[in-house]
Amino acid sequence: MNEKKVVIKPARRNRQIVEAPPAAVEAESGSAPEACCDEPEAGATHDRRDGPRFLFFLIDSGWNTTCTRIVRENLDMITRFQNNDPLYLLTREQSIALLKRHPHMIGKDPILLARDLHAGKGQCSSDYHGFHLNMGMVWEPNRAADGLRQFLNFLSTHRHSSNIENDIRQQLHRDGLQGAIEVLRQTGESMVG
Amino acid sequence: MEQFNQALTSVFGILLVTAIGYEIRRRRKKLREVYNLLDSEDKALVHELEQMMAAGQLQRYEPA
Repeated sequence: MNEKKVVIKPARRNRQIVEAPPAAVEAESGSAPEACCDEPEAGATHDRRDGPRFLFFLIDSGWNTTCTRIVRENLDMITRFQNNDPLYLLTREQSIALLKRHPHMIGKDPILLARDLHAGKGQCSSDYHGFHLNMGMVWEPNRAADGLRQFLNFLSTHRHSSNIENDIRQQLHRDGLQGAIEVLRQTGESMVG
Repeated sequence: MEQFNQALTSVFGILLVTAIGYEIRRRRKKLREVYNLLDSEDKALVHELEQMMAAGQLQRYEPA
């Protein structure tokens, strides 16, 4: 493939990088990861419109790919479309150190990880606590941009969902009969061009 | 001859259904690789990220 060489540029100077406000966000994150699948409190609603729903983390060990450029160029879009939910950028060194400790993620970055702050508050799966977009698994620039758009669209339209895990399986993973039909439709479209 | 035609049609039908099933499965697998749920395997990683965030080691991105 005749791909242009893309060099990751440092953040522009007019973009302010500020230190994490640990106390504030920690308070938002609520339960520890182990505390999953609690029964919903009596009278509790899952339609929590106040405060962030997600914490975003960008893990990028510095693969020189078009996908990296696409993610970096659209950081503004990620935060603006997600009601300014916090987005934390790991440095290259932090990303490499983290991936070395969790080798099953190597090669999948840049990874946009969305930690669901409502996970474990009444949802039935004990393991679910968010999801991530593995941009490193997509090679074609158009598909990468499309994947990011679809990811942001999904997050925006389902951010108040009480069972977002199920929505992910149905709409992003194309589970079920309707998903199978959608997969076939997309296959047909890609064959036609 | 008629039986042979029926058998041939059945074989091709089965092959077609199998191919469609295989393609759906392949595409779903790819989608799961791209849009992955954070499950028990990723619990330690998320916990580590939250610890780094709480310790103030991570930079928060602010739009221009």
